[in-house]
Amino acid sequence: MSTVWAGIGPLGGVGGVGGVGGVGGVGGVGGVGGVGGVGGVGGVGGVGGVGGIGFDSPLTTDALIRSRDGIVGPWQTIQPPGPLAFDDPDVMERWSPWVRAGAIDLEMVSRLAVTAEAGGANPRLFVWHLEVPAPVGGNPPVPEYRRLVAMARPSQAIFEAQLHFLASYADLRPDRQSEILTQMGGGLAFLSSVSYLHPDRTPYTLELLAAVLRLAIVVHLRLKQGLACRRPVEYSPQVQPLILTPAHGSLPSGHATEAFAAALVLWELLENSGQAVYTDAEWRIQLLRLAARIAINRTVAGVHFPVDSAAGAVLGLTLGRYFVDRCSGAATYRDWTFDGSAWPPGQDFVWRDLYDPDNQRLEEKNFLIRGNADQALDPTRQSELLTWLWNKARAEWS
Amino acid sequence: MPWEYDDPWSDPLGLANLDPYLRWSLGPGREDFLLPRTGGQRVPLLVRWREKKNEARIRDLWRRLTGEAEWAGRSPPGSERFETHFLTFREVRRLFAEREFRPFMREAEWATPGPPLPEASVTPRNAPFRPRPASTSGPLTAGTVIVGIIDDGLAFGHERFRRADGTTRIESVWIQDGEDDGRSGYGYGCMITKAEIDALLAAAEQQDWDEDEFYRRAGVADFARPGRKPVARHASHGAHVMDLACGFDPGDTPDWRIVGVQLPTATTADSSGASLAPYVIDAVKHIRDVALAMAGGGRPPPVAINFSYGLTAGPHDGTHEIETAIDEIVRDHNAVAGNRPMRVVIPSGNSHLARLHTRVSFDTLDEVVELPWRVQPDDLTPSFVEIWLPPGPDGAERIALTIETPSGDDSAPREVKEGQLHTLRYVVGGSVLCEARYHRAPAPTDRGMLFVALKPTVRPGRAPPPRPAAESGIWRLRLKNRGLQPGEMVEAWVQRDDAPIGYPTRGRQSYFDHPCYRRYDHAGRPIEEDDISCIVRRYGSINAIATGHETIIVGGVYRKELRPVPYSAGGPVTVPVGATQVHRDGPDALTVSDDSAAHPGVLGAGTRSGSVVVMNGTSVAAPRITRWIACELAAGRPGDRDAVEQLATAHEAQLDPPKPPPERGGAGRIVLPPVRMPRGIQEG
Repeated sequence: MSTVWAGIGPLGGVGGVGGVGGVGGVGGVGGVGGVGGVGGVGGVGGVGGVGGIGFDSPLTTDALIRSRDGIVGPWQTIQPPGPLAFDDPDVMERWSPWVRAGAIDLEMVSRLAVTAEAGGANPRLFVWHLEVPAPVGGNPPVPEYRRLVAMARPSQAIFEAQLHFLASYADLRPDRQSEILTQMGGGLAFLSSVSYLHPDRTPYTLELLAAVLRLAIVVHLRLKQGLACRRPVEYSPQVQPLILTPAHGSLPSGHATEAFAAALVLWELLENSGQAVYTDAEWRIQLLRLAARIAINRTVAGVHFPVDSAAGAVLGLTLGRYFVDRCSGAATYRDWTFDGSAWPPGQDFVWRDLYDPDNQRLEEKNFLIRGNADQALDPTRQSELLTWLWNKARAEWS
Repeated sequence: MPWEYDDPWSDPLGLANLDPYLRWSLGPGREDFLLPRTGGQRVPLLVRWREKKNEARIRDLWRRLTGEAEWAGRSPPGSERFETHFLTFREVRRLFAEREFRPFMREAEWATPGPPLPEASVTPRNAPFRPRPASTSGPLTAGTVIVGIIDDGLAFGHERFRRADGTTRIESVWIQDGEDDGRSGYGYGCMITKAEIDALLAAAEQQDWDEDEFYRRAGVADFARPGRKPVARHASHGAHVMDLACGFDPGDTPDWRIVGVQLPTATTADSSGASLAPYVIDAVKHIRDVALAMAGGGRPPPVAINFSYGLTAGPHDGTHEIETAIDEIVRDHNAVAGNRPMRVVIPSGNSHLARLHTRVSFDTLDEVVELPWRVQPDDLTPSFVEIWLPPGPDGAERIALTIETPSGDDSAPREVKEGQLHTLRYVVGGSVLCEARYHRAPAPTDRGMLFVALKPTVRPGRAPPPRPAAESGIWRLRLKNRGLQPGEMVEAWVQRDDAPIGYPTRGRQSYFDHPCYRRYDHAGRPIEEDDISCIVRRYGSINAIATGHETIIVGGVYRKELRPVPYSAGGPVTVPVGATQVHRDGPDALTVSDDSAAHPGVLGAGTRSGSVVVMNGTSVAAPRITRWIACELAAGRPGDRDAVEQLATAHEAQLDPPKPPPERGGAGRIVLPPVRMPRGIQEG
């Protein structure tokens, strides 16, 4: 799983930093849209071929030169359009998806910081939200750091105690092989089978989901780096995973983080669409089950411990909620601490033990600690760009 | 030369009638018989007592062997004709090796072990049994039928087994290798009752558990526990079979109450040769007991049991211990005035084309016929051949067997003769790799058998020195006629050695690989009819527990093409000693096991509510007949072998010929409405 395509999966097609192009060349949509193809490259080629013609091909450009030459006529002056609105989110509509992705990513990532507290018996990594006040008179704003996530890793003994799960879950490998392989690039195809996602029908939703996946990816990869947990394959020669063990840390599980974050954003979108049908908790629960299955499949495959999935689920649900809060102009968000050292060693990953789908909140445990008070967000400083994308996506479900 | 005769340790008492699998398991086969990496374990010993048993004497012997003082709340040894008792491996060995226990085998006609269970699955010595849980399914009605399902991976939370109000139709499930809770009435495993299932279902409904969580809480799919969890997979044999036997959409349900028994295949999937006989017989008795208990002393409801399971080697004359036991249990139950009928349905087996059967007769004295036995490489489990002799007095010497290894090590002049007590062994590095002996099966089989056992062909152990493994390739079993008359048949079968559905393949099926056998015709179609000049036969490959008298045996047919499916095994069945003719030619009838040649299998439930999967085999034909029988029983009709055969005759009259031969098709083809929509067939 590289940063470029992690988590986006077959449907987003593209992904990566530039990519997004949700519309992209992907499965079936193919050249039709014309915009497609390319994607990942950062869209540069962006325009790619309609049915093999290719906008910027030598043949086309030569033809365009000749065509203009033939019809251009003497130069004339006409009234041009007026200037575009300054820093107006509605202008976003004009840009390529990958261009918007750049702006969106900066909105997200520029408001995050990560610190480590290495000392003490239980070193932790912190992810902070930077609440940025309005700048005055051209002076630099002074952000205030507010806690978003804290995470401590399990002890070596806990990982060792979890190892037997790798043996018992391996029994399910023949049963889950196709899911595991299909989900190597993420689970968007699976989300699309629970809700009606399609590049033509819901391009902005796919763009929004790609945005939360990129948020999840940068955060979990940073935490994996800091927490530096060994993969199951390093504990025993008999794990023999059915796929290549990814070259990054074990905890938190990236698949769990991404799947739960995307699931939460998707159901929030549905519930806020104004369609009464989507307020039924069954939509939420089905998406949660799906996210959990994607996470567990990684244990079946032999690349994750159950505690990795738990940490990833907590991280994904926290980030997903934070993402929705920032998009929707909420006044608060909630921070959580996952203390892996307090995880019961023989405990399997059971999503229902961690999350209450009816009240839509993580369940407090001795390894899962809620922040003392909800963290304040200043609604007057909400990100207009995030809100623009959120509203566009939401309108696709109304 | 490493062929030698043994000094018969296991037979100091001259117990020629000792089950050959038991002798193998106690001797060279021990390392494959015991559960790997399991500390305390218990061996189930199935005992068939003589009619006139000396109970006090048996109890005394039992006390001396096991130290068991009392049998509070349970029946002491010697109370029933077929009994299973759990012993340590050492105790089993002592029982058969030590003189003081000699009277035991005088009182017992027969004793055979099953695969062991972990100690935690067996009720401790001297601990009283807890009462079987009381029924909570409500009063019996005129239409109540008990459907018994003996299988693997029972999906007891599935909606196809629920009533309209969301409660389960399952009366109870006995997980035979579950952690002992003392409630099964047989001293092992755990019970999951209707009340417990209903409580779990209600909690699942209330707390939005999915079925993963339901089965985890129920203890059968908790990955923190060791062991296989068939119900954690998307499909299991038991879920599919149970759906075909008694699954309905909720709200559409007759008053059929389901008694499930989950066999210990989860812990014993490795075919060690020990059959599941002790477990199966207890399962049938347990279902009977639950039916009786539900009647509370009144008239018990009718019972239709489906047991989709098979073995390939055995006497094939209705006298395998599973057959005799089921026949007796069913007969005894049905003979009680006032009891409503109990029926047991078994598939005819899938081995028609598996090359597991040979049929040999000799024209002249000293004629030699070779059975080329192909043993596969990478077989992690032992392999066995049973060579059954025609009736004759014990002690006759009508036939002799010599064996040549794949690399040409011939046992001749050493041999195993009919009536011989010494064992022929192939010993390498102190390890017995192959063993052959004569065995005289006691009445009602009352025939001789030459038994060949072979070690696994690979030993993956880590500790040096590597343990020797048997050679793979063709082991040549040479039979020499020393007195059989022309026309007298010697029939051999290879024992089943493959993995059940959903289990890793450890055993690899060996077979008879003779140049005379043609598998395909000129167009590449599998040949389903025998060339009688070839000793390797398709006919006679019927499931070795499917030749009983009372059991209803079902083979498979295509719904579309209406011909027997190529794998569906059949007779002829051997005439039992003392009878003048056979009690069956093969199965009683055929019904749909596959929608068509292009759509193998039929649809049935996966393990999760709403899921549908394809499975084939005579295993999925049998439960369709079980379902029909349950309807018949509910209506007060007999639903017995005759009824099934009459149904087949009636259906056959409506179908295009040809009618399958009776050995493969019994009374004929039965085409009942499908339980699930068939594929590839235009309806109407």
